[in-house]
Amino acid sequence: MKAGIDIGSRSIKIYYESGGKPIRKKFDTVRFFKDYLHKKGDKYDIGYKSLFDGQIPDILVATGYGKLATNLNVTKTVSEIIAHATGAVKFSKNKNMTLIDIGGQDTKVINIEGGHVADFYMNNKCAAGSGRYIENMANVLGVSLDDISKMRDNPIRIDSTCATFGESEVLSKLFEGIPVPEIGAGINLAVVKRLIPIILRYNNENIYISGGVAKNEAVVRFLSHELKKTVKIIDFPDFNGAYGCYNYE
Amino acid sequence: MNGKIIGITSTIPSEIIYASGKSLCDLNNIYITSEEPMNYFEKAEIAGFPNTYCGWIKGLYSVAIENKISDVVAVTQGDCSNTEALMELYRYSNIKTYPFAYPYSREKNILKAEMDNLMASFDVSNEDVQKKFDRFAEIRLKLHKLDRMTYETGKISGEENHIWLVSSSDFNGNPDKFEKKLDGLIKSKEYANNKYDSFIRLGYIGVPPIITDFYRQVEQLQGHIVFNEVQRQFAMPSFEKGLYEQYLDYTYPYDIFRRIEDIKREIKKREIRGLIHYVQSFCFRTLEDLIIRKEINIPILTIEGDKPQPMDARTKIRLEAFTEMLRKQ
Ligand code: SF4
Repeated sequence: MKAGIDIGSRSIKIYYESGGKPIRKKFDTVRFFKDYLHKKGDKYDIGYKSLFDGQIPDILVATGYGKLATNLNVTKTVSEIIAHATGAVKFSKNKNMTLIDIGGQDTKVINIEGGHVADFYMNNKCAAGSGRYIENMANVLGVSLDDISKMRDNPIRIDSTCATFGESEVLSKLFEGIPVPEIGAGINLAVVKRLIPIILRYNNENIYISGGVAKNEAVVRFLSHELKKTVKIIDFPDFNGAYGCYNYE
Repeated sequence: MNGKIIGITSTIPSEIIYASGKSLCDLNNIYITSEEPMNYFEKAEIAGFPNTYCGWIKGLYSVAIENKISDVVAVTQGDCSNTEALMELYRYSNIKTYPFAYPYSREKNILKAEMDNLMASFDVSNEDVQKKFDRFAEIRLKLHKLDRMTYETGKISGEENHIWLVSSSDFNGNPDKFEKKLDGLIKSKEYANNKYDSFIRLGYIGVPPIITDFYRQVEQLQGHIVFNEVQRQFAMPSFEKGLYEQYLDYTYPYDIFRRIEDIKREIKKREIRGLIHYVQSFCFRTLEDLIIRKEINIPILTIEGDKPQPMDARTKIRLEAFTEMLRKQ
């Protein structure tokens, strides 16, 4: 049996197939490390049996931020870029595309030509405009992640997409008395605006989006609107990395 | 002139200083090869350098002060405009400074005037300088051999290539000793195996990295750096053309377009699959990335460094993705 695992900063995603059916599992990162890891020599073993319904995978391919931090006992590790590209190509059956992946603290824009990664952008040191930013701002606004992802009308202008300092700007808008849905829409739009110049560099006809933020309807709509193209969502977008690992050859 | 050792902020016509019987020390090299380069970095911040300022300039400042360097030749044009203010800080600390400018126009008579001026400051004759030029040409020839051993036969690592070429700015303060050590290395590697046959061939462009373990990280990902652009320029690729000509052909201090020509030529010659463009945080040269990306059509990864520290986790992830991408292409 084969499995893919994506060890992200916020959550861990697992993909494998059992009896021809896809199985997807998601865990909180901190909980996962507490519950499923045990030390074996100087490596860490995943509590395989409990994770994979009593089976032990012969091939386990890992990606994500945590694959470097821990000495996991896996068959192979692949970079996030390759994992996501593999997942998107397999899912879409499309060999040419620009893939946008917005995760917990990562933003990636990957240009794929002929089924291979031709170039990519990945945010450097800061988490501005990432999933974490939206999450933190939703907290400031006192709404859920679900609520904010529906806010798309009358966006106000937000300049700072910093996951930390963005807070003061959002607060000042609240103090000005601007309605929460308009600020929320502004937050979603700010995330998109930041990415547009990078996506336009590649000038690709097909645009796909994956990662947790792909579930944010407002972000996807703003993206399509700004790019004047339909942005297609990868099914189970937050599992794209794990799915790519599963399909990695 | 008080001291016997003259500090420099960037590559200058070292023949002139050595002809005067004095020794040379590239402040950059002292900074980055010291045990704790962060100490220098922090000392500059304590002195008042803002944290949004180039980490190389911070080091250059502290190194000169801490090591009580009394004389510095500062490259005020063709390297970095920050050097002008740095020079003022040196003067304020009673360090004697000699400005040296590479003319942006790359005109021979202006460059010659600059060099003649430096000769006058150090009280040396043309013949003395010419003698040093002939002597250094022998060493430069060997450095180019070392460079070829990197990209032709894989006997020399990207890091060794970097260190030796970058050190040619001052020949580590003693050209004869430098040459002896270089001879030793070349000899010891003559029959070495090519360790890098299965590695991805990479080029490094931009100012030398402030990231202390940069080359080790690349090698760990099975990348072989077969081209260190600016470092190679420090070793004067056109040394056989003559004293003034070698400093006119030296691409680094002039415009980006000649650098790009050089990079393109070397990509072809050295069969380079991908380029790493290093940019220093807050450095004006970062803007040149725009032109480089348009002009060069092999994959480029731009990485940024700020402090003299090991590579951060995110840069590692990006570097890993880059080498994997090239391997899969
Ligand atoms: S890295 Fe850039 S800003 Fe810093 S010293 Fe060099 S040229 Fe100047």
